[in-house]
Amino acid sequence: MVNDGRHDPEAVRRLLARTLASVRGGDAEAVYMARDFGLTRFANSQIHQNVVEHDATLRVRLTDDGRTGVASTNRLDDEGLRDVLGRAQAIRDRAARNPDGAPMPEGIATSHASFGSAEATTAADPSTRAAAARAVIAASDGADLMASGAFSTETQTMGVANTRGVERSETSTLAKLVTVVMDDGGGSGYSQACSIDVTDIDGSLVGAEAVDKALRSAGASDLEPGEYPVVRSHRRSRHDRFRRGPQAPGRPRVPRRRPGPGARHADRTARRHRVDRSWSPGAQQLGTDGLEPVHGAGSQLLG
Amino acid sequence: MQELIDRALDAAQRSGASYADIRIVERDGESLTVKNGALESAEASRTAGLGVRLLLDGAWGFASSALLEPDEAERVAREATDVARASASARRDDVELDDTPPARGQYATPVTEDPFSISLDEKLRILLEADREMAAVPGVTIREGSLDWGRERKTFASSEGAHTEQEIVEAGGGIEATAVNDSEVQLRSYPQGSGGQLVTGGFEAVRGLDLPGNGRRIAEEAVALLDAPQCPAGEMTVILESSQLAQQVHESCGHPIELDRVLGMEASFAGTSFLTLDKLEGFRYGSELVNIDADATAAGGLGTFGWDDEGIPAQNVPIVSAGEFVGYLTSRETAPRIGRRSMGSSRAWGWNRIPLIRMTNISLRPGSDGGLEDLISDTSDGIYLETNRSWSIDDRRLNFQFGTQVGWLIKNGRRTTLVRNPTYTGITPRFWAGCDAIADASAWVQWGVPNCGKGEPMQTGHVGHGASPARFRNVQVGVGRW
Repeated sequence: MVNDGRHDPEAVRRLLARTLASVRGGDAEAVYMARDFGLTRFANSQIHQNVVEHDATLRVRLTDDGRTGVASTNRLDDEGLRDVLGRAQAIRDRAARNPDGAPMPEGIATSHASFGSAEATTAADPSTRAAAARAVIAASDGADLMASGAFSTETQTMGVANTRGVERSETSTLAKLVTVVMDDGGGSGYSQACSIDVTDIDGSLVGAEAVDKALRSAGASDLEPGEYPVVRSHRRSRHDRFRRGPQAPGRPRVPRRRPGPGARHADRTARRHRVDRSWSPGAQQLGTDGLEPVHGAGSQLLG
Repeated sequence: MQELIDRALDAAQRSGASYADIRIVERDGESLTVKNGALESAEASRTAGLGVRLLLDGAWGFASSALLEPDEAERVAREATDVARASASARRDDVELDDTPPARGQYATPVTEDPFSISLDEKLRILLEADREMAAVPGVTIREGSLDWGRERKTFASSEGAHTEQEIVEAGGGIEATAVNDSEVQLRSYPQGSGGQLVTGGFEAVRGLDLPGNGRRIAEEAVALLDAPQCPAGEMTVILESSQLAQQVHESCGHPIELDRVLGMEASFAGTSFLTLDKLEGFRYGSELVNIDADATAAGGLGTFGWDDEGIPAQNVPIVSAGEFVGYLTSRETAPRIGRRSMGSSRAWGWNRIPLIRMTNISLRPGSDGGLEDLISDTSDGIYLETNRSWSIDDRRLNFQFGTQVGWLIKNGRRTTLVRNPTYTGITPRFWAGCDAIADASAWVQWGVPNCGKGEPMQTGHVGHGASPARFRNVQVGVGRW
């Protein structure tokens, strides 16, 4: 599934260096993001959507005397680089000076980081994800419930370099299985497992967890609006399989996953049985299957 | 281009696919943002790639790649085959497509001024002029303005012989003034919230917005809201301004009529729909004044195109007719489930996403009750609500809550007191049953919603909603505690 070239640290370093070397005048920053992503969705106890995606994007930011131009592309050959730099430069040269614009950060080059990745996740293919989906479906079939959910695996490499000495890159992986199982009467159960290593995720366990909750919520009645004492589930996330990356000044901030204690050095055997499960007990009591309606203001997505 | 198509479709068919299609998409987008009189950001993006979707053993597979090369097109098709085989291992019902004849042709958005040909200086001039108008009002804390424009070139071809080429151009923008004091943050936007108005069309659409001409008004209203009384709570007669009514249509009609949602395909992520199959042609969705259609041919709509991403031609179909629920948004896979052909609402956000059922332009047809001022003058006691500020709806799209930026109480046919933080709530069919007046075509506006989220991986759909102001009786307004 994964094209190694997109995630090769040396290839990333050369691309960023070539981009910066082509800039004339002012400062420049180049950010590379490559993603190989697969997702298997199931609903009504069968796989109904199943996709894979391979993409790599380069974003350049040029600054000169308070003026900034930004452009991005996913065409990474010589012509693509010329084009993206040309567009960023055209914007920069015509932009008004902004005295409050963000300065280009200064830093040093560091080696490629990959401690947040697992080879098994990178190697996961559609059959890996389908097997987990079948396990969840089998668990729900056993209780005469309907299963839906999604299982995704991804490998992501990010690299950043600028003309002030910053040069870093990192590869990470993520596997995530989510399911909701339902009966005809409004009972439902939710379960989720996340890990950097796809082998940590056991579809049977996730399915059993959701089925157990669905069976316990069978026959639930509507909860009228009002004030109630609230008792939260005693069970918490048992497993966090994420790592903390370096966060030096000037490093572009990307969404961070909360690291778990000892995540990097956990015993392999133990990891197979420690699966993250997240619940939304309040929402479930309200009969929304643990799903929170999309809402908000401003430029958020409409649900 | 043709070599990419041939290599992908041939590989799919050699692998045993019973159906295959390929989309080759190039998308350019640019945006410009001004904040408090200075350029905040200017950015250009470009993305291109291809996606191959196919049916094998009755199951879907999809793969995509950013590399537009013949060998890669063939490799992607083989990968889609592997994906489909995996899907088939957990499949109970074979996917069957409707019998729509394959489409061939070209379509381009009508454009007078290509937005990519307009200089950055000219675009900045418009935003800075609007900014100066807002800055002239004392008490405004933050002034923002933005312009967005984009172009998508898309080629679709299928193993059935379909081949369509489309160029969709979009342009728009908006301004916003925010006023802050010790206890309140109040904002006013023009022409609507969430980044302004976006349409299919050229830069002439941006000029037509007259952003500078509305800067001072919204700034004055934002400042006035700081000292306005809190919106009262209670059951009231409500008049909704056109863009807020478009949001209402989006949440309470647009989403529940998506047939994939009705069939449970989104159940684990974004919920289902109260408009279950038994309600088609017989369920009373609203009053007899309520006529809603899905019109992918509407001029300027963000849901306007030549063909959807399954090659179904754009069309206008009724959804609610004289208050009765009569139609869903469908795809080639789902339409046969209700004994119909696809009405052409299957669209993907980009080359790396599969087509999902998405709204086209879901619009409330105009009524015959005059303009907005006629609605107000015909209302003895009520409230007029304008410009969306927040939204929320449950996972069956039945119980909703909205907040708007501003409201005016109506007494004896006249706008009276300005009120802040207005909200209203309701149950979808009860709310629409209370509709007793809809303004006429002179007040009807085709609004763009560029931030409709759906699916996994998430797709950000561009959809449209036309509406003119309308009146609703017995609506729960306010929350009563401030």
